[in-house]
Parts: sequence; C-alpha cells; structure tokens
Amino acid sequence: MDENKSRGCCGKLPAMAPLANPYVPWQPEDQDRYVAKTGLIRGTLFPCLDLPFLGMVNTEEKSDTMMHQLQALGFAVQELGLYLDTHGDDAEAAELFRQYAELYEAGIRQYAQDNGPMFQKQAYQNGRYSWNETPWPWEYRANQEG
Amino acid sequence: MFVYEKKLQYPVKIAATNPKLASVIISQYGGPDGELGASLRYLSQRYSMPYPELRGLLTDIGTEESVPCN
Repeated sequence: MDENKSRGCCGKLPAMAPLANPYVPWQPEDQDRYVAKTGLIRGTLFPCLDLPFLGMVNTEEKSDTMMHQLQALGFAVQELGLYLDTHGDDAEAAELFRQYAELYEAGIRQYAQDNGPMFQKQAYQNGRYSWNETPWPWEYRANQEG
Repeated sequence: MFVYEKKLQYPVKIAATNPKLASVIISQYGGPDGELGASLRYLSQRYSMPYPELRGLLTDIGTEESVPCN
C-alpha cells in the first residue's frame, strides 16, 4: 500500500517550508464610514473593510424599532472603539465615537424606561427589582417584534 | 470585570428550527476552535502584550468574541 495514501496525505514539503504568510493591510485614516444602520447589516462600519464572502452582500436593512436602533448604535460604538484602539490620533473618528456613544447611552436609558432594564444597574424599577421580569435575549418572546 | 447587556448584538429571527444547523453553530461558539476559546486566548495574551494600543485591542476583541456566547 502506498505509504502516503495510508496516512491520508499527499505530496511533501521541505521541513522548513512555512505553511503560509498572512498579511493584514493597515487600515487608513480619513476614510468613508457607513451610517450605523448600514454598518450593522454590512458587518463593518468601514466600506474599505467591507469584503463580502463570495460576493454575498446583505442589503436588507433592519426596521426602525427601538431595539434595532440600539443594536445599530451599539455596533457603531464597538466598531469605532476597535478602530480608535489603534488609531487614537484620529480626532474626527474620536468625535464620531463620542456622538454615537452619547446616542447609545440616551437610547439605553429610554429603552429601560419603556421595556425594562438592559443593565442590572437599571433593575430597580417601579418600586421593585425587575431584572428577571423581561425575557432574556435568547428566549422566544424576546424576539417576536421587529 | 464584565457587565452584561440584556440584548442581542444583532437581531435574530428564527423562521424554522434546525437542530443539525444549531449543533454546527453551537460548536462554532463553544467548540474546540470556537469563539469562546478565542475570546479567552485574546484576554490571556493581553497580559504579555508590550504595545499599549494592542493591549486595548486584545481586551476589546476578547470581550467582543465572547458576545455570541451570551
């Protein structure tokens, strides 16, 4: 029996051959950005990083429910935060981060008032501890609307 | 220290249940090469990361990678 076949491999590499050389392009400053709502469905806030797998593009924007808006804002804050970790001198991006973070904060406060706590620290509502009352995100009824 | 946000990161609407697909997805999260493992590796690697901006990045990516498990 062929020795290579019996071990489930074919071909040989020299002992010192590197498996692969990956390169990651440095993300430039002064680049375009999607608005939060578009970023959420594209999976990135940055058009220059938007490289859809096999050209499959998600173009179906989410409706404007409070939760969807919060999810878009939260994503924008996350994206800009990751970018700013390595591009801390980009004042324009920092300002945009500030604006999105402020909107997100205000949105979370409003959402908690209307729908129950999103953070445990908001859980004292209407004279009682309400953390366990609203559905958890993985429960069916939490995802009925929108 | 982590604080839980009682919401999904991305909207999910399950039209039909599919246990086979669910099994694949859950192992992508919590399996041997899953996001949970990656998350913990990032969060451990940051302790020996000499570049400050990458300490921040490892913290944030490690935190984010654990999100689907929540």
